[in-house]
Amino acid sequence: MKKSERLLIKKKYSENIDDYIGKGGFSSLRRILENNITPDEVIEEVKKSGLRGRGGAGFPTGLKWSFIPKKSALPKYLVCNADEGEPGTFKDRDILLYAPYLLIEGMVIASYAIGAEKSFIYLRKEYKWIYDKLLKAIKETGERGFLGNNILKSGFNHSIKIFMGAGAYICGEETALLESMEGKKGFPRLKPPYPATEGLFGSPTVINNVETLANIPIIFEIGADKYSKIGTPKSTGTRLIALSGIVKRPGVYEIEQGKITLREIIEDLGEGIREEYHLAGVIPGGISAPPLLPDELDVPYDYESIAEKGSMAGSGAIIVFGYKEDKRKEIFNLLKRAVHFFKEESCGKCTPCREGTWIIYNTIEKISKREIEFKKGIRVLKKLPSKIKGLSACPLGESCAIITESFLKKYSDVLK
Amino acid sequence: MNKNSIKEKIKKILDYYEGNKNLALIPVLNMIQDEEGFISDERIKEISEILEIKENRITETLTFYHFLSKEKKAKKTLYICTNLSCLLNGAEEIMEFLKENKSELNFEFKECECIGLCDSAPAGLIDFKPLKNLTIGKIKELNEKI
Repeated sequence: MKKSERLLIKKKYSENIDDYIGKGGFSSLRRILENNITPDEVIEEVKKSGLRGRGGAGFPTGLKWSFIPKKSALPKYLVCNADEGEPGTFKDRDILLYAPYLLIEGMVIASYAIGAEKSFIYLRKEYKWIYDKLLKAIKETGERGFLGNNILKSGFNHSIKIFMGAGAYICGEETALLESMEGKKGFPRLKPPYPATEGLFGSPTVINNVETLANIPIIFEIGADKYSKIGTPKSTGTRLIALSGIVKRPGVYEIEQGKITLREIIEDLGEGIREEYHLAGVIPGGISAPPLLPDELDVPYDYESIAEKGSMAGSGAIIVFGYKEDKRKEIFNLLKRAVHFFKEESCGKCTPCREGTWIIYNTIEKISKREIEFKKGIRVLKKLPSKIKGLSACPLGESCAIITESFLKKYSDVLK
Repeated sequence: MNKNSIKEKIKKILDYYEGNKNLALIPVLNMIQDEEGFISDERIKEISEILEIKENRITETLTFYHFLSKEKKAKKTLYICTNLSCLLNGAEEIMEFLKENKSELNFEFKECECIGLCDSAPAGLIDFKPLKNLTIGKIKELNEKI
């Protein structure tokens, strides 16, 4: 049996700053600043590590940083996206709780690389209970001289502030997040311009996920070469996965990318399925990811392998689901709940998404209330996704279409 | 809370964000919502004066977010997540119990989206503090405590 291991990030879990320093904490930042490693060299090292964004899209982090213009009349910003709202996702929560210093160190290094004197943590309101702890960690880091003016006598100044959201899934989308920080409703912006050139208050801005930033000090501690050899060539490093649903032991686990299959994750880490359930499938990367069937689970967990199966590793949220008695009714109910989420969270900016998610939901509801005959309803439902896909500023509406389409396809034995 | 102490708190938030009034808006709205349970027209006016943001723009922002409200509520709100992992772990039974016993509850309840506690499903939030592995027994206990 594969035990849950402390690989890279979990090894750095420390809830007090002395413990963190004892584990080599802040040594990466120290080495960079004291050895005059240039911002460009930092970006190159991150590129070499192969690190990809852990928020969902998997975009190469070093490349994202390199888009920030070297010279800017406006101040540059780093924003840490701690708004993980994709249903089933709770791995950033554990970093905020158990490795806040690792995150802070990563933020300072990232800010140094892009030339930002100020950064923010956009914390979802649902995590208000973590706010004070995080604030304390920032304060303590400042007291030890790793934040503030002239950090380690390098001439580099940096401050971190927390910004708490007010409840809106869409604000996890980076441009909606920026709108929210500017005091507006969270409407995603049309891109381009990208945040790297016009971000927060028009300033060049990098938005990185919590786990992405937590990987930065580790890359500089072990070296990009060594880091890039962990995992697979295209999915380097480890990932924190959030395992939940009908497994016996849900939780946050750290895995080496590509070295463990979804089935092993469920059987060995999750200790299998609870007795009252029959396994029906797995959503491998948050509910925007199409489900994989029980016979499709011998796939290694990394971006490419999951994509080859027609789904995505997304935010690392693995929801294992099943049914107790009535497969058709229970699977349909799960689809209904997933669609309900997108309908609720559509921000309303783009018509195809705003209206489309409602129409899909209403159709499903009519079917469940038997206002439409099941067979006929499914036929109607099948036609809707294509009317939404590819027509909006952000992927929310599209995700609703994809989950509907994929459920109807994968469970066509009962949803027909 | 009296007018002056709210004003002081708004100014404190504004200081934290180094005088950036737009940046301070949602944190200010959060503070008032958490202190008073809703955001009144009077408060919107005060915020508008201090932050120099038009009242209708403040209303536009606040009506967008789940956890901000202009509606005064007599009781606290218990948020129950009913998204997939919570649904698979009994959130429907919790919701049914709440609906059936609505008149005896000392709090209001509202279905919500994922709150990042899927490993302790079914889960909820009260006063933005986590309630893990909810059972009907735990709901009854909570009702007595409030």
